[in-house]
Amino acid sequence: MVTVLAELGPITVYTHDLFTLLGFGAGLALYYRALRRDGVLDSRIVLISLAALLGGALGARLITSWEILDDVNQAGLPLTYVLTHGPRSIIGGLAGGYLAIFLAKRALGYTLSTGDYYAAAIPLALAIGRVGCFLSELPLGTPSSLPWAMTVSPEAAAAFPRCPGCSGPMHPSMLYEIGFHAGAFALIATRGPLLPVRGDTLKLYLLAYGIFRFGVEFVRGNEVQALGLTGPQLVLIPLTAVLVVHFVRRLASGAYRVPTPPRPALTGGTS
Amino acid sequence: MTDRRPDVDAYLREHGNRYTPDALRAALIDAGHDPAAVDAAMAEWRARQTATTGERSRFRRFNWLFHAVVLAAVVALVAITSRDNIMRGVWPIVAILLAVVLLIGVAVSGLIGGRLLLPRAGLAWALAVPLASALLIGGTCYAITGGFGVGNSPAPNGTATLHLEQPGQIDVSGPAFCRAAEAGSDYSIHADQMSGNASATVGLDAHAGAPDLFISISSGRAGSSQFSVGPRSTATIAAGSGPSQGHVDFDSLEGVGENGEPSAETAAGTFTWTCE
Repeated sequence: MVTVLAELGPITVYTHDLFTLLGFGAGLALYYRALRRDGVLDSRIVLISLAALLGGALGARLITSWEILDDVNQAGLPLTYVLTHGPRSIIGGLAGGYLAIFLAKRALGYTLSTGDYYAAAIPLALAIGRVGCFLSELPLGTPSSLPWAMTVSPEAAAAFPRCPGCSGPMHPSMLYEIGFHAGAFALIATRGPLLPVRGDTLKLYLLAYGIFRFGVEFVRGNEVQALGLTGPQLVLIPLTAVLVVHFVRRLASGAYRVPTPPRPALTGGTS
Repeated sequence: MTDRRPDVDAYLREHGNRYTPDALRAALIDAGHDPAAVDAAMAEWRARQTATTGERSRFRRFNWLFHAVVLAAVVALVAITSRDNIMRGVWPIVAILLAVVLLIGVAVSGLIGGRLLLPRAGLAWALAVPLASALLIGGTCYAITGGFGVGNSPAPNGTATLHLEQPGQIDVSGPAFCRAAEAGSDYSIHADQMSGNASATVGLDAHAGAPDLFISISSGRAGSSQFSVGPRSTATIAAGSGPSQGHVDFDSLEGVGENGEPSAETAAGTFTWTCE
């Protein structure tokens, strides 16, 4: 476990934060590159990106904040404590960012779907960010006897507040996530949009990640909240359901059949 | 030079916002259109979707500024989502910084784009929507909780130690949040980053001299255990204790199982705090 990468005078470089920053940077660079390539980079996109970052940060802190609200109230702490010290969740970040983009585009009157430009950028950012999680927060998983199960030193385990699988080999759930995001990035980056409707490649990726993450939660060792499910699983149920409904409606309406264009008019002569 | 194709232009106008450029290009070429003419028509359509050439040129001139704004926002947001000890006590400063950055972004965008890129109504919406949302969410929270605790800094203002004899010998200490009630003699102490031979969180609510105590202990190999005051517990606040200093002796605190039901485990020991 490498919590701190370097100490440069008064500045401490935390592994998790550095990889988060690298992930953000790589994702944004890829996003802007795609926008520039298609000639759609303008000032409104910058505002929309800022809204996405803000929405993502707030969503990451708020979506599972209910897990600690009782403790915060009990301790008499201000509600802002949830924003500064609450649990963080990638699912919340994605949901908050998506909502912020929707609102910002509505506010700015921007009608072009930009989802596909994020479709490769988000998995790249998450894959890099998860490397930071893996290095600084243990593999985080339930006990496992699989050949790739990992063990951690007692010192590293003692420093982590909750680690039910730390007494022996456990699932490296962070590596599973890194593999998923890296695979999604490779697929989208090499093949381009996977669906013909603008924005739906991003939604397809989010749906796939929702299902994947729901499964990973069973081997991740997070605390069960209700109905035998963890907090992220409970949050994922409605979010994934919305995406499933979206794709069912798209398929039912035949939206993935690209309209047949007019044939070119014959200009006379043969070649 | 390629021939103008009004039918291709019309097709792109009708479907360009819904389908991806790749899908439209493939459909047009499959229908027998010249690839070069299709690419030219698509480039023209894209140009119409975004700014005019002059505006793009002005945008390029301020490109570095845009990237600086985005970078500043990213750094601020990483600070918000970063490890707790980076943000402790500086949340209001980061929030103000972020607000300033966003306003600069809006202003720069307005200056560069003028009315075409960011119409006055759009600018008003861009400012009004977050403001209205903040008021709506903030007002609701205020109504539900009776206040945000404005003026209470989230920075710890004291230290606390926990000594347990049961279920095992545990000695931990760390920063504490001490808060006195606005009226009466009630107070609360919260310490969530105590460390030593384990890590622990302790929450104490002293109401009319009676303690409501919650303890959560984690040690990597043993897992985590929670304890709270139950019918068989004894917990006594020492005479002279208050929000600035004191200690509680407790015995037979009841263990709390995974589903919130009592467990057979009990805890005994002392909790001590000293605050500003």
